[in-house]
Amino acid sequence: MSAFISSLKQHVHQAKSENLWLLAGLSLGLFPHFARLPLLITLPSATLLIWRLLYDLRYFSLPPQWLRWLLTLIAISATYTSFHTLIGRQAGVGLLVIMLCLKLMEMDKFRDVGVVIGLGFFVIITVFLFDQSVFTGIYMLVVVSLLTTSMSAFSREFSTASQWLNLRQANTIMLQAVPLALLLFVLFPRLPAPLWSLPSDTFGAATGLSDSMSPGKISHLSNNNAVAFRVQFDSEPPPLNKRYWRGPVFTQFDGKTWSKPSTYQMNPVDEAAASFSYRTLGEPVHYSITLEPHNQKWIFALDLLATLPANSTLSPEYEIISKHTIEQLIRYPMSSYPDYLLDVDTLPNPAIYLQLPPDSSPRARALAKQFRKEAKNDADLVQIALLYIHEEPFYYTRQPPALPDDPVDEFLFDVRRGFCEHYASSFVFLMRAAGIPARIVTGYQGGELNPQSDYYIVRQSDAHAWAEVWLPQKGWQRIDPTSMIPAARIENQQDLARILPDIAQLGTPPNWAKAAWRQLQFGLDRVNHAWNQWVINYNDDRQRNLLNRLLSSFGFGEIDWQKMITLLAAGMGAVLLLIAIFTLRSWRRPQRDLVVIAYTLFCQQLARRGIQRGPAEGPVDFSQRAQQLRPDISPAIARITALYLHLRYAPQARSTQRNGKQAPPKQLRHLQAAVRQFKA
Amino acid sequence: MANPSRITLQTASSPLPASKPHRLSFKRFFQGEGPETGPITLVQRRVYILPSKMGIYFATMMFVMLLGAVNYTNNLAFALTFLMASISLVSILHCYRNLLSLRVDVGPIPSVFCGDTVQVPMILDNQQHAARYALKLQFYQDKRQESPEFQSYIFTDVGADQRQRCNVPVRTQQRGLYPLPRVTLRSSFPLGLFQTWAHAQRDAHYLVYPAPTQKHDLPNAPSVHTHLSGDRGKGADDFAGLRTYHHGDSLRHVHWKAVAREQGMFTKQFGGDRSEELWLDWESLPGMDTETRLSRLCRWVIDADASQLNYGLRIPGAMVPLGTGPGHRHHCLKALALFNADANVSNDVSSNVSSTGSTP
Amino acid sequence: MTDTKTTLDNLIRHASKIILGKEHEIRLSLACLLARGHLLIEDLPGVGKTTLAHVLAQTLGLQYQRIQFTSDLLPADILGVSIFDKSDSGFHFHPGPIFAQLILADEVNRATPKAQSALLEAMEEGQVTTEGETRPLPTPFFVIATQNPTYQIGTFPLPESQLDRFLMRISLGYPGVEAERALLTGQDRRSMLKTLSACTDPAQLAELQSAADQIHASDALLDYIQALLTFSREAPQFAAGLSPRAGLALLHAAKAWALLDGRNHALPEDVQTVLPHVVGHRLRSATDDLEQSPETLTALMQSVAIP
Repeated sequence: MSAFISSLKQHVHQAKSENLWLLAGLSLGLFPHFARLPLLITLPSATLLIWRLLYDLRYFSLPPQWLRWLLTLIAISATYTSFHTLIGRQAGVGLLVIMLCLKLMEMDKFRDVGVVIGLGFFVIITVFLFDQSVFTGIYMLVVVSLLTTSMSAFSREFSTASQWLNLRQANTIMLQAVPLALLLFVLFPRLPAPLWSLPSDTFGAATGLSDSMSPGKISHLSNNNAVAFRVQFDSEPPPLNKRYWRGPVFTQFDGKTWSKPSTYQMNPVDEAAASFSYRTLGEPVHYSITLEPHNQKWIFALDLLATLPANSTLSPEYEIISKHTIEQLIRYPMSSYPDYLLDVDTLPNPAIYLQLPPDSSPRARALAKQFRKEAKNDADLVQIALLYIHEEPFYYTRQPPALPDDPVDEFLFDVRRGFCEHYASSFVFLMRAAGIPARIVTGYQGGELNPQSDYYIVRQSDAHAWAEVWLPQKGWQRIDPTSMIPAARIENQQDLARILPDIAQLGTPPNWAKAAWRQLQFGLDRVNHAWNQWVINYNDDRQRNLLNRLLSSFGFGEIDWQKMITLLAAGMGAVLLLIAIFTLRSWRRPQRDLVVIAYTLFCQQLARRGIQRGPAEGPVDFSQRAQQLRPDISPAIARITALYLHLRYAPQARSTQRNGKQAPPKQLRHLQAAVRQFKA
Repeated sequence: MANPSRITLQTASSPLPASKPHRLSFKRFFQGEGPETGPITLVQRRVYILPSKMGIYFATMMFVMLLGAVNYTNNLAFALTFLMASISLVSILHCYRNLLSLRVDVGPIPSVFCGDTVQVPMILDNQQHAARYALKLQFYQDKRQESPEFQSYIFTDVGADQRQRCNVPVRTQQRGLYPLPRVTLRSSFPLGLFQTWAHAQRDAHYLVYPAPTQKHDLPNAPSVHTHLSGDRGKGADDFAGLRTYHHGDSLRHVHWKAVAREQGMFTKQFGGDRSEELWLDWESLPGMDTETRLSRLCRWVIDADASQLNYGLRIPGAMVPLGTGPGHRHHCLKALALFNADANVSNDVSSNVSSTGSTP
Repeated sequence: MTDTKTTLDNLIRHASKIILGKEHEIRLSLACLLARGHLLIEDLPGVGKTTLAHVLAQTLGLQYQRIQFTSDLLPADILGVSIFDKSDSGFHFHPGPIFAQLILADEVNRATPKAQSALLEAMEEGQVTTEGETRPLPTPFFVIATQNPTYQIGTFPLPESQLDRFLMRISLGYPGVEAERALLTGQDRRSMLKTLSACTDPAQLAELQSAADQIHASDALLDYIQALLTFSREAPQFAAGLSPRAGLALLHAAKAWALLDGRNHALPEDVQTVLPHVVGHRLRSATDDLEQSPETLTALMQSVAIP
């Protein structure tokens, strides 16, 4: 083993170290892509990278020209096979990665190296198209540092100095570049919209809530901890039982799947405004939501919203629908009234909310009929139904059995195990069968306060489905059948904590490791939140707001792009000037001899009066010349010169170096005093 | 201390004439300032910087990246593009600093034979407390004279507060005394995105001796001449003294009388050992063209010096008296290097012209 | 320190009485002597070279010998020769004129290289080896060689390697107007010489020489000397730079000059004062292999900053 390591060391020593820097940078830069791209591309690319490394370590030789052409053809066909296209984001990145690795096979001239380094930087930018997290940002900073180091190494290919110096040089430059880059980042004018339309696959697959719900189909609910959105309350946050974040609403059921009506038309907000009828009670809560991109149009808010975010409309079911797909992180301020009355007086189109597929789920219909008989009125019926869920042996589980034929009947009477979708779906079916208008609302429930900060995190695992029923004189009422399950029948502790937080808190034993782990997660999330707010979501709006806020105190007026450019140019100039002064000023070896320092001060004093000491002019000669020119201060000049000559040229017992261990000679103090008092 | 006869030093209050042209000139941009006396400090107006090919490629790349960032409104892409742009901007300063305030001087230039390479000793004096890296030094040379196997440049580093001596090659094509061409210092350190350069030309000259011919026997009949200063003792009869006998001394010089008296072996020493005088004469090589003659004479000078002969040189327009040693060799070779056939011919022509002009 | 200063001042005053208006040259030659070096005086005939040597010998109380160099001078004429003595049938060494404390080698460039080298080897080694026997030369041993300017006919210029053996080279030059008048009106210099009394003896001189060795040269001064040496080695105007021996010569001469000035430490000014005389004959121009002009020496001094 040690023999292998020593032989490896020798190989590393023989290799052109600039190539090693470059390969290290490229490998790190390509790694996130390797994890994402199909194996058909990852495998050959990684092989080529390792091939090049082994070549640089003098183990292998490079492939011949014909093989390179063949490899290129194979690479292109592999890309095409994987994506069935060569354009678009995924295919483009695949092609870039494999072509870059192929280029390594013929990187011998300086020009090729330049191309490879440039492509290396380009790879980083493509990684950002997929992932803009803090971690990726920092990771890529390391890659930039390595690539810059390789540039430094290539620019001194013939120099003999140590390779670590390249790393230091590159990082010095990077460090000096950071303030400039920050200025550019803050002040470079942002455009509100893209310059041209982007390929359709630009932003990956949709995540989070879907636009239909099939309770029987999914046999397990994934426990996805990814963040859906974060909420910052400006006022007192509403209690947990009011924190229902409204998402898509489903009204149509075909026996298996809940969906929106096929004729569903989005109403523009102003036209639809007339049909909204609501009454608000109490004070509104103000908050802002930072929504992670999910590649759909839903925008989430607490019931009942009082304002509408920009570029969005409100549907008759009080869903907020964005005009654009949410492909980027967005942040919007909101206000909501937790207490409200909705459509109290009349219900427009009650038929929609009573629709049921004909002849489906006979047992459920029978149960509904029985409820209707028992109930005094609609409200009573709702209570009876909820009690039914509470008392019958219904269980909450994330892995329910599949319900292939009749999800409602099978769930209500056979299986009795399921999660929110099953309960909401069955409950709404029962209501409609009993003649009460009802609908399914999906969205998120609750959210977790980050104890290290003041915002709530709502995760994908907080996704929820509940029911809304319409009662006369009360309007639409939110009913959450899932919450009726007693604690004993909830399988999972985590779900218990979510569904019935009051009970859960009593039961969980304290576990410091778990607590610490959670604290760490909250800390990280806090960083992520700040990152999202200030880096990823720094758009034209935020730029304008920030600059206006910063500059209003200087009487700068409303910011526009001309002012931004001016500011940018001025700022860049100032920072560059600072760096230039720091870099280009003459770096003399620091003078350590206090005698020379004192005498130099004396010479500077005289030089200011036009008596300049030549570099080769001896101190005695200079003193005589200066005394002739300035008889008035002749004694001072003579005294300083005498002291200087004595200290510098006569035998000295003590050192006159700065920071010397011994005390300096007495004459030094005299000299320093004389120079201090000296006025030419 | 003030002595009248001591060389008085001028004060350095006005070392340069005040009105030096500071405007930008294209000639200076491409060719530098022309020959200068004394060490050349690469001050700001002498150091130029422009993007290299790689720099232009990177600029294009960054523009594409910026377009991408704008279009995808991807802020990390923006950040990366801005970071790269800033790194490039900062690297301008570092690149420029790599040459700035360097002092360039040239040391004593050795003379070489034609066809050999002159290794011009350049002295790079870094008076700053920061090192310079990967400086490329190259003398300006006619492009037509370049050949692929001749590497006309060298790379060197100069440490902080250090003087670095390095030999920069100059190819020789013809004998003669040549002014030192301008040297160009280049560097693309630290990132290769920019190239900074400066021209420097010292007012030094280098001497190229003629190329010697192949080994050729010396003129075999060395002519013996007497010369004005030639009263250095010839013959073996100037008795100079005695010293104890060493093995190898000629028996003819043993002081036999002393031996006869049984006083031991002594060797008689004589003043002025006989030495061969050799005149290398232009006229002894008739029927050859000028350069061949010079080459032959050059070969003879080398051989005569190697065999430590007492030799002199006679060529039209120049005469080097008898002598020995490296200094003498240099004088002879220099005379050959500077031989100007045209000047001699044109002298003749001009005298002809003047004589014809005066006839009427 | 004060007595050495008075002794030296006294010496200079005495010598200046005879050689008028040449105090600087007298000081230089004295410095050369104190630094245990040999002196080369290069000047036209008749400007007082011989007188200077004579005066120095006289005032310092040294044994004095003069050797007139001619083209037929043989090494034996300088070093001495063994002559067969019939009385005891043996060879007896008859020491040459070189066995004296102060030698005036007059017109050294008139002799053949052979004779020159005999003198110069003796100068360098402080001893004479003839006929297998080594004989030490007396101490102090001080050679003042005079030389006519080399362009005169019938001369053998000293080769570079031998010039290096001389610590200093000075030239006297014509006297000033006043000095010239005093010369014309005053007594004959030669007769005045006889009246001159010795100010020191060889033992005192040895003390003075060791005092010159004791003069302090600080690091700053050594830095300066090294800078001068480095410059001469790297500047293109010189065929070859100064040798380490030249550096030592410069240091010793500067120290001796400081002693003459009554200081216990040497200053850059001391170096600058002696520099042209110590260095002038050791540097050759790169372009024509001739000696440096005074202007180049000034340039050398001006180019090197005092650290």
